[in-house]
Amino acid sequence: MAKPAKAAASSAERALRIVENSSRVRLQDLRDNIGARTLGKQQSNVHNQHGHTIGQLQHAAKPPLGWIWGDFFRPWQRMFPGTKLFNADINIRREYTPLSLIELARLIDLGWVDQKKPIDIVALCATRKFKIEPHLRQCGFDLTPEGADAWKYPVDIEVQWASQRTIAAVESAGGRIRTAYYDPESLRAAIDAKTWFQSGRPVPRRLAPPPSLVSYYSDPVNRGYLADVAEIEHARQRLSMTMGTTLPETTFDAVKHPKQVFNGLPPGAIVSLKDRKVFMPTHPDVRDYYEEGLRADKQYP
Amino acid sequence: MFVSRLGRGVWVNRVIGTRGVSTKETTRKGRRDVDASVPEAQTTSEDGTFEIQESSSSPSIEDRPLWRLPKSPFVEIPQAWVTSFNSIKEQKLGLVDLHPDVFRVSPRLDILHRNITWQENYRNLQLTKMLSKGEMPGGGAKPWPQKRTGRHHAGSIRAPHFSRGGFAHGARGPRTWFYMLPDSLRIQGLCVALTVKHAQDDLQIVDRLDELADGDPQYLMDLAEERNWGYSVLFVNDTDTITGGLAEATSQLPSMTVMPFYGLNCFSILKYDTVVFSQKALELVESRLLQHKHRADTLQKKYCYKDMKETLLREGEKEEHPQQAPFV
Repeated sequence: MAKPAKAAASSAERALRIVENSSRVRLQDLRDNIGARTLGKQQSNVHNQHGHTIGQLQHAAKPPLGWIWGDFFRPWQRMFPGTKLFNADINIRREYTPLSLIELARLIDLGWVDQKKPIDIVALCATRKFKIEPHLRQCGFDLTPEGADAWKYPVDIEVQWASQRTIAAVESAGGRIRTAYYDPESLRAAIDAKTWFQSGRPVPRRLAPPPSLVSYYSDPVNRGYLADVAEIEHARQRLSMTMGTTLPETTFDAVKHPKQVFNGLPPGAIVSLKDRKVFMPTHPDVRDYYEEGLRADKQYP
Repeated sequence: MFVSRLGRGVWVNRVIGTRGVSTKETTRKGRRDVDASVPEAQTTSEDGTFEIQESSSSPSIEDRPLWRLPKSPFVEIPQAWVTSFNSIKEQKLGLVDLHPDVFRVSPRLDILHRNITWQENYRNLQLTKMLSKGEMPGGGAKPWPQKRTGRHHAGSIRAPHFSRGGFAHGARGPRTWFYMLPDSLRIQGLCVALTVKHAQDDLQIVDRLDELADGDPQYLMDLAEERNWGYSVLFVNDTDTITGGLAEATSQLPSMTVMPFYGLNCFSILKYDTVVFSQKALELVESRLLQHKHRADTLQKKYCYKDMKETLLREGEKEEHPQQAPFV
């Protein structure tokens, strides 16, 4: 009988054919790959010079970086520190996880994020691809414009920081973008909703941005969530004229309320995942606490 | 070393290739034909070596949809027979599709090796503690003067060169070799182990394991002999308490063991000649592995003692055994 023509097979299939025809693989047959565990040449700990030596002058102590004159403890940057201290605000500086448009497009393409639904920090963190730590003053996502040329999804997205190029790219594709502030407590609920609900804590009310960020989030140019809707529409037209793009007509649902953390869940709600029910507070004091106006986040300036 | 295994009926479990649409169609049709002929009492192939019988008590083996099949054109869908367990003579009840991401992965023996090494090492605990000079009792006084005795200079009778002295560079327990292999490697290791077993025809699927009539070990030995299962057999069931006589029978046989599906591990799979799954257990193992392969969370999870301390310390809380102390 003529042999059938050998069809193309993956390397896994070819390897498996060898396994099929060999004797039973036993515990003692297993080996690591050759060379997988070899270490580099061990140098002696004392004089680790990798086989060559250098002279006395090269071993000698060098002046520290920035030394220009005088003693070693007054380098240039200490003699002339400038008008403000370098890294003086390190303990209150906010960090934003950069998320580029091309990364977001990949998340959408692979099905981690649904482009039909509003994309906010809850949806982005539910992919488990990002790690945000509010106690390190990480405040959310910065949508960066890498991949703006190829962006085509008309998404409804809410991030914490966005540049003008990003805003233009999202809006020219027919999408809507808003920048919104989440205080650390709300952020903790948003990044791990399941744990938050299971712990039995109520959905927190979102606080208004701190004084230093109020101007950013009420600026229609940044599409801030506290800006006036009519002014945002005006800024949208202006940006499209500046960038030379067209604005397709698309309609979206109402934006999330400034005090809301989760879409469709009012602040103060307790969610029972087991019973699939949402409980609202009944005590008038508690209800007042959650229904009062916006309070500013005063933790950091 | 290279024994021909053709005598063990390798062809039965051969992967039926699905290269191209036309081949796939014929394969599917072929399998559907087999299914259609099931109600007839016996079907003998051209080789005359197997028959398919419909048993009224067996669960129906329908066409199983495979979750998230890989889109590669080279992927081959492995298949396996479901056989009966209530008779010594092998009765084939149907053919099931297995997921290629679990039962047809690249045979990475090095990853299997890392799993086995991990399993053998992480449980080691050294309790020996050799006392140093300072920890031995006594030895505070200088045993004899420094000079003019003709003996060597000595400061303590517990110095390491004295007999009954302390140990320099001795074993300083308690010491563990515990580490966690990354999730990705453990998951891949299980898939490789199952793949190798299936490729070598050592993975058997029976309809159910919990309906063995009596706990007769001879029955199991005859069964393994008849079906060429080899010396040692691992039965994997879907539940942790098993009804029927299988537990009693295997307890009398040192080479056969029953295990719930969640206890499955690389070492046991490799240790036993044949692994026998109940059909439900197989589906559970497959779904669990696929779930972990496609999970959103990272596969390089950090395992810190701090995070698991509560769980580990409460581990033996519910263990109430009349003789044995709880294993913590």
